[in-house]
Amino acid sequence: MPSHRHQAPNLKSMLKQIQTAVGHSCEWIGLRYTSDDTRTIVAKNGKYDYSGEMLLAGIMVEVMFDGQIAYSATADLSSAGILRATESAIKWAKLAAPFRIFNFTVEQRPKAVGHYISPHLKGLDKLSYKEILDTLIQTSERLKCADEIIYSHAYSQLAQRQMHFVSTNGSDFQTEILIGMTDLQATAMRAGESQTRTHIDGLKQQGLESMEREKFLHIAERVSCEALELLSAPNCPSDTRDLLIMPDQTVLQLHESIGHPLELDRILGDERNYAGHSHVKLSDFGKLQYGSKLLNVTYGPTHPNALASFQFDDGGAEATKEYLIKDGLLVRAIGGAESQARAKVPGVACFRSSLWNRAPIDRMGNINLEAGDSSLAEMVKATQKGIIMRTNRSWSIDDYRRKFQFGCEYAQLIEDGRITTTVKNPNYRGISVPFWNSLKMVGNQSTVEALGTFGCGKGEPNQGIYVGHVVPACLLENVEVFGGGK
Amino acid sequence: MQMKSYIDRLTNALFNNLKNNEDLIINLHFEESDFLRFNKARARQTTHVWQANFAMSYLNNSTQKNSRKRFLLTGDYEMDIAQASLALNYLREMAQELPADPFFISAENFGTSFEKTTGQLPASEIILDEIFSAAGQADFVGQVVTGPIFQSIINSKGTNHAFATDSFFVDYSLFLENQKAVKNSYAGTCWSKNDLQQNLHESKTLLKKLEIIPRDIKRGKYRTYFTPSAHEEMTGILGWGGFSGASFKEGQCPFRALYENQESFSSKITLKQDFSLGVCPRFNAEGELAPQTLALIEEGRGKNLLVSRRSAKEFNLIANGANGGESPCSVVISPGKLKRENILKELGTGLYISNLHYLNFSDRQAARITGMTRYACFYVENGEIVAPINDLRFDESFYNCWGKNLIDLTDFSEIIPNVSTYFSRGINANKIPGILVDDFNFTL
Ligand SMILES: [Zn+2]
Repeated sequence: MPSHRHQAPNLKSMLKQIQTAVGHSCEWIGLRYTSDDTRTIVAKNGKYDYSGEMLLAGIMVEVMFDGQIAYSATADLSSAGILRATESAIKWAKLAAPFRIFNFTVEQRPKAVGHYISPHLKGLDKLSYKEILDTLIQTSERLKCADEIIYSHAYSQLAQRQMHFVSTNGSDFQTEILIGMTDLQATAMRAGESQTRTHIDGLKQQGLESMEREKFLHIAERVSCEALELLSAPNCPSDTRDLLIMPDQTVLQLHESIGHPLELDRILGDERNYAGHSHVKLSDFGKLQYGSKLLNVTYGPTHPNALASFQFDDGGAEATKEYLIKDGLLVRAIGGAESQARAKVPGVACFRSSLWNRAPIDRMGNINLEAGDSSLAEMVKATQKGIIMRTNRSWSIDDYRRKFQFGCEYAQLIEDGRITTTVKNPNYRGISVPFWNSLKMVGNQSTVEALGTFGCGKGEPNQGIYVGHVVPACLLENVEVFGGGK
Repeated sequence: MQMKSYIDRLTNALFNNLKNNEDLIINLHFEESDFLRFNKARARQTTHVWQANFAMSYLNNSTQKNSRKRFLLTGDYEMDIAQASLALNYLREMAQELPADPFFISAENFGTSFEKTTGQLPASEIILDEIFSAAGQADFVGQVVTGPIFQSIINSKGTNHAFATDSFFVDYSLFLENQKAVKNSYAGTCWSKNDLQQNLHESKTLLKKLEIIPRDIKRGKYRTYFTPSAHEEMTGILGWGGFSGASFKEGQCPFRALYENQESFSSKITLKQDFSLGVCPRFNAEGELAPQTLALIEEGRGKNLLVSRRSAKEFNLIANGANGGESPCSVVISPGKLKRENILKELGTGLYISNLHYLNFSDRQAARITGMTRYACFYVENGEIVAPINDLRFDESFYNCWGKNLIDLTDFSEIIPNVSTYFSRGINANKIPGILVDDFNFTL
């Protein structure tokens, strides 16, 4: 089917026109064209449910005047429209410059030239609604394998981003990313009590090739069986025991209790009115033992297929793999060039905007927990009294990112080195730094999964962005666990 | 640009291209916004946004098929009509490829309306000066958002509802060196330097109370007062399936037991959707008008769930003008009898909570939520504020705090504006009283 696409504008000639018209009244101009094309396709209870397309494309004009950067976004891509946006940006840069928080220079907008295309075999142009829906309808039907399954869905989202950036100091780079994700879910109900199991397949950079019917049908069987199994499972016990978190929970634990507190703009206070502050202080870098010796966390923008891989961040900084936490020691922050200049601590290329109409801020890219050397079997065997938790369903942490609580869909007790009873409504709570210092074993490569989250929220104005996490299973000592009920 | 006449002209032209068996539903969100972001009473970032989100739903009444596409208008008529016409052809092809919608909902004529609030927005040239002079020496952090918003829903059956407002908000916190802070907001349609100064003055007065060394509070159950803001945070989470007819049928409704009459709240709890607040449009994305008021909980009993036309068809329920997500707008909780001057006395010894943070269900089945205290929260002894507290985690069920542990609600309410700005600016507000409860469970 021919798609209704946006014609990418000729940014270089636009920039020339603007420079001629108003270039003399500011120090630097950048133009970023972003197009986000998202397809959402859903089947529910073995029937077709929804399909929709969203195409958000526009230009963000950035100007620098007297050390202050101002942004102006417009979807009017005519010469007059871009000029109007530029004039508005110049106006605000001039008004704000006397009150600026920092005197920025073009050093924070280095020249970047290149072209990144995310790995995929089948692009959006190959999309056949009929084919995908056949798969999703069948999968949601398979999920609804018993009368006690009262609800099931198979939900796919394919998102394609195209970004092009040019600037008066010679930047000219493009980023093309295609993300594919399918979410399978079944809810079982008996005597007024319901239990849900979810599987998120392929939250990563990939194409339509990820939509494999046989794989989905296979997963669907396990998901619905586990939902039914939970109906007769006892509640999670309330006590202290070793906690083995599988990748689809490790993701959230890493995201909330390591990713966010290491964000430099939070440490600098920018987010104190919204997303929150951080327990990490600028003086902690190079000194704070964030976790046990087994904890190694990296910024991994070059990881193939991980959700947030790219060549340059939105400020034009070249993205390279860096250790944030090495052998448990905090060494580097998640902060882009602007925050690094303000804070004078080492950071990474992570200055990202969520959409065409938002300014870049410090974001996680791919924040990964490096694999250890233990197999899952070894971790279970080494545990006398423990619990395995799978699939996050609840997350909450304070504004300094210390006191967290997580809930999962499915858990199994470990007794004397063996997996025994399945339990429902598992939750645990703890405090970030002591928790990671109790990290006892880290799963090897065979336990690693590339996952992430689609809607990490932050910023004023608010921005929801996708971030990647490539993570293994992790075993933590003496964690406070508990079950559900009022 | 007159968005109303522009969109009317554009949609009229588009509807002329429809065939007999076809309908279109158009949803427009337009805003021209300035977002000014501050930290440490300095300017961090400014962003100007001009955007017109244009969502087209195509319906083929003969095949019972539909398809949807959302994109941005440019503001240039020739370009926009060309783009929209291309999209219409595309949607026809897309629908053809899709199966019939098993719960197909046709377009209907839901009438016309135009509600317009003309405000007095602050001029760009004065706004920064006024903010910084009102903030004074305080560590001011947050954002100012200002500009016009226009929303409309128009369909080819004759529905045409529009809502236009000039609005602004200043959403901010003031911080002390000891990291303790006060959160407040100033929002409206007519900017006043005096009101802004008064608002900041009140925050600075409260901030002084936080200068005392904060106290660590042991986990346990405490008699607790939640301000209207904190109580609004608690009720906000109920937008997440709490009153949704579909959630109820699909096993995700936290109030299942309430709506099945196995549980009830204190008879002091009455919660309504009430559009007489006038802060957000009554029409939903299909153009249907919701009733002016709809009781969701009445005197502690589950009264109505929110049901969209699609859910009504799927689950054999009665629709009541709900949007597709079936989350409530303009929530009003009825006030109680607790007077402002008696709050500390009635609290006696316990916790005074001004704000909450990062709420989530810890057990949806049990209507149990967890979250953190944030900003100005105090330990109170014998009716006197003793000290600010270090942040605490709570984990408690609505069936307890709105049930047997509820002591009273305040006799006053506050209108809490929605300051959400994901994708675009939100335009909702809720009117919520404070609440005093016993034995509230703090766990970490
Ligand atoms: Zn996040």
